[in-house]
Amino acid sequence: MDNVHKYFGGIRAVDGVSLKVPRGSIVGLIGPNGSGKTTLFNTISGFYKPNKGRIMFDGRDITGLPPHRIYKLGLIRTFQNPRVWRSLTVFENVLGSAKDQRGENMLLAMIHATWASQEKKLAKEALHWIDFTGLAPVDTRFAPEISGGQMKLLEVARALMGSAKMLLLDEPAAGVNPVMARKLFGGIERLRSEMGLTFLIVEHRLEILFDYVDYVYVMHRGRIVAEGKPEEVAENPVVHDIYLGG
Amino acid sequence: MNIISFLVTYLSVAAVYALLAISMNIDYGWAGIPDFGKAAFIAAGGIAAAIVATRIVPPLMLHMHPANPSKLSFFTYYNGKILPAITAHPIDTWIVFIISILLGGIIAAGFAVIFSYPAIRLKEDYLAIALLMAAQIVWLFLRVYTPIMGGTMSMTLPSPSFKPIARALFHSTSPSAIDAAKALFLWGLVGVFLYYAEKQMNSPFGRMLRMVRDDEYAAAALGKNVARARLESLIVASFLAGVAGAVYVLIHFSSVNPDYFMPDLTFFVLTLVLVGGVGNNIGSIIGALLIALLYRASYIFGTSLGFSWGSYLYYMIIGLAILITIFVRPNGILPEKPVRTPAWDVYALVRGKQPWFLRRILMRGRGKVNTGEKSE
Repeated sequence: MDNVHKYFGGIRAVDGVSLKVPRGSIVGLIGPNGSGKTTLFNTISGFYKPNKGRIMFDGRDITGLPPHRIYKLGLIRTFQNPRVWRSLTVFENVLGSAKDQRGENMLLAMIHATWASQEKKLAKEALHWIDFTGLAPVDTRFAPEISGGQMKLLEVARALMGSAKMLLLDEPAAGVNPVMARKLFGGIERLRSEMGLTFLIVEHRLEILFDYVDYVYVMHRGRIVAEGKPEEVAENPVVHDIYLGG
Repeated sequence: MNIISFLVTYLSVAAVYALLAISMNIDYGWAGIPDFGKAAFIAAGGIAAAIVATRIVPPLMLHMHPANPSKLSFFTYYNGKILPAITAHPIDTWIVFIISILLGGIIAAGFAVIFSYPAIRLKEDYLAIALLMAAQIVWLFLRVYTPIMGGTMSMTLPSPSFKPIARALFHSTSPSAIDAAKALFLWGLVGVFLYYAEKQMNSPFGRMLRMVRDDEYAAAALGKNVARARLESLIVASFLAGVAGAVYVLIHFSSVNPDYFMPDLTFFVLTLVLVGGVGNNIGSIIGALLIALLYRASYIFGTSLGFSWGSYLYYMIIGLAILITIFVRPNGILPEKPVRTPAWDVYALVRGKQPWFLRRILMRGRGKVNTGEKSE
């Protein structure tokens, strides 16, 4: 991951943002409500096409690619309000997120022998990620039956199942109690150190976020107004002004 | 009308409805596409089968000139020469039938690609309207453009002969034995449809369709090509709709007329799925059995009342059935089940227990059996 650049016209929800997320780092993106963080995420993950600018991932230009292609490259996002598949169980939610499933082909789906062994392998992997995220006690529940915090974990588990190289997490700790939120960030740190994953995290709960990230960008009105190491940003008067409305 | 003949006719009708319902259940039930153009796909299959069964296969089989050898119109030529010649041999009618239903299915699937290619990128309501319009266009076009099927003049088709089957099974060729053979054959076909639908849908493909239905944004973010998944589900469902449409004209009516494919056919089929259980193939069949019974019974009862509106009584009864379903069992008689793939075997092996719904399938929605306790 080299350089994530973007400019945006129109309503200027994201108005010329450039940021860089080095491989294997945990980068935070903060800013008040309506500052364009989620719009930026939607643009990176392919849901919106940028009017201007370029987005690079892993040395490839991914500007304007549809979401499912960006997923295939290993850049996977989660949603601010968890989006789970409500008619599927937690286990299937994780399992179905796997990449390149042969049985998803319309014609091969009829011939069970062509995908059964892959399905079984993926099922084992799915159970591994369910254990990793601590969702094992609820894995046969239908997804809407689990708590909001568990849905956040489920979204992370799905992204991991999709063999992500980089995860875009949109407010992973929102609505989650502090103990669980710290556990979640502990898990993120473990994933980074054990598997070399990269994270870009939008979060409002700065007190937790700042303990785990390497670098922080601050967005305000569609622009990056400050950046730096967490302790520098915490001291930055501009950030205080934005958050306190000064 | 005695009870046996009522029952046999009812079962044949219900079987045809079940075929249509299974097809509707794939695109509406599994993939969540509001396929209000179902009538168009049924028509595509039905008309294609009718063309194959009148103009293409019989002349080839009989070594007759397909075009007009004398100065007669095609329809006169067909009714006078081709139809009697082909129906004289039961085996020939079956050859015509098999070729017709397969081509009907393939052509309906092709129609699905043509109609939905521009429409599939639309959001739900717009997609529904676009497909509804497709059904309307197909129906009007068939009515007005007479060279295809003679417009609103019905055309008799060489429907497959059930005499040999009746003779083999019941040692009789009485009309009731033939009707019974027909009902049995149609239910055999329902069995084939059910086997196919269950096998096709209890796979990662079926799971992907549900993902797209439940949340298309999450599906796109996790690597599913939403437009393509919708298109594929329409192709699968329309293939079945085409085969069902061919059966509908060749066996159910033994004739073809554009008014068999009025756009409100779509909503009748949708009722079967809604009442039976959206997303459950067996539910669709149960819905077909139930609604066909209500339909036949209320039609017969209504017309016997002697009121001018008596024959429309069934509209009210079916409307009532929809309302009762929505209030009492909003998920239909048989609600949807989780997608069953070999992954659950692995689950049972690793966790050492079966998931609860494989133990008590029918209990979803009521007294739920929860294996896990809430953490937090």
